[in-house]
Amino acid sequence: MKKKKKSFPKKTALVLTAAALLLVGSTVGSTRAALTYYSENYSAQMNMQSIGVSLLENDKVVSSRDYISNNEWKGTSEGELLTDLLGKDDTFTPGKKYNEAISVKNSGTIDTFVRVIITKSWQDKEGKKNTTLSPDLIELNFLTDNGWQIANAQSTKERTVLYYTKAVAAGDTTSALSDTLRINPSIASDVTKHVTESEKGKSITYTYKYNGYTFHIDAEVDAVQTHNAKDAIKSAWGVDVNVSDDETTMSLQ
Amino acid sequence: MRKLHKKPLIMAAATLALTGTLAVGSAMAYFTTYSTAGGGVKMNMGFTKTVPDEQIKSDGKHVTISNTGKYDCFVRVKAFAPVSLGYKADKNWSKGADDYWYYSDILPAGQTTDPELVISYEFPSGDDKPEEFNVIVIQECTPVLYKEDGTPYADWNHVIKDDSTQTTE
Repeated sequence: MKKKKKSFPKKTALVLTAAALLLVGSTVGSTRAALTYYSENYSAQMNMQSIGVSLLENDKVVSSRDYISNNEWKGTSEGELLTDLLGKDDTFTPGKKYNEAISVKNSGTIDTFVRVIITKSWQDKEGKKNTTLSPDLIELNFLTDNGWQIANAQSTKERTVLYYTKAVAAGDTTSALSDTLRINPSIASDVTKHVTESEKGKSITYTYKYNGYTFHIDAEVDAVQTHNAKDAIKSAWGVDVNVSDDETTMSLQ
Repeated sequence: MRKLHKKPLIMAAATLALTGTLAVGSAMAYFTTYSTAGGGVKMNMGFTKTVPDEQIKSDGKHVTISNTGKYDCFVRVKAFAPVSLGYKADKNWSKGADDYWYYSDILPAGQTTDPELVISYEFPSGDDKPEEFNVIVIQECTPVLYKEDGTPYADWNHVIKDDSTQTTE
């Protein structure tokens, strides 16, 4: 008697087929992605290309972070601002405008989109942030007719987020996002009265409210690749942007 | 109900897991970098103190003002007397519309006005002349303010109200 051949269960076959299709589909997908993505990477690695960004204050690099290879980075990613604001014997004077041009250089070898987050605050003698003093009085004059755009929805009195709407080519520097810095002269009118009484009579003294406080400016520059920029920016910065087809300009949504 | 075979199930699960891993890998692969910088400047603000010095000489009172405080300022002088007074200085002093005499330069902390401002007077003659009279000199100072271009200026209307933290002009 001929032995009845055991049939392969249909359900199992279907599951296997589906799994195989999924596997093939995903492989093709990722291969395509890899081809698109890694083809750039491949050439980048061959030409020793990498991402990098530098923050400039009055055309002088104050901090930078450039990728070398194998998770190695070069540069000082935490720099100092305002160190050259005053001359040796100068004292800071409210109302006077000081040069403060902040810009960004693409110090890597691939094109990038960049944004800068400026934070202004007052700190007391111990270095603690004082939130009762107004950051509005720290007037960094932003320039927005040269490619920089302020993201109002992401900005507050203390924080300003600016996006550079043009791609920055490797080695290029953006326009300055600011030109001058001044402290509003109204702080010279903000005084507190102290009255002390003694046998000789009343003694009245006035002190400036802002005396002894330090105004602080912090800047952070973020850079991301221009390739697949829309997704890259969403992933890296959590922001929805529109990017031109040739990936040379972007705008906030 | 027929039981599903274990082997295909394991294979299917492995396939799905592999697919998931691939998707996660591609989502994370973006080139990004960042850099930061920060700095601050301490505000050094305060009211200074000025002290007048008067030397009586044959040609009148020689007045100088010393800034004995810690902050730069502008100064002005005015004198009162029952007789007419004359003012004389080689430079830096000039008469304002309100009869005050203004020292044109900033008077830095620790320094004294130069040259002296000479306030001259003539003793009255005649029968009704007083036996003596006083020439009272008052001096005032105001903080140095700056325009946007950095030009220093004095605001002599800058008056502090008595019980407010604000000033009025």
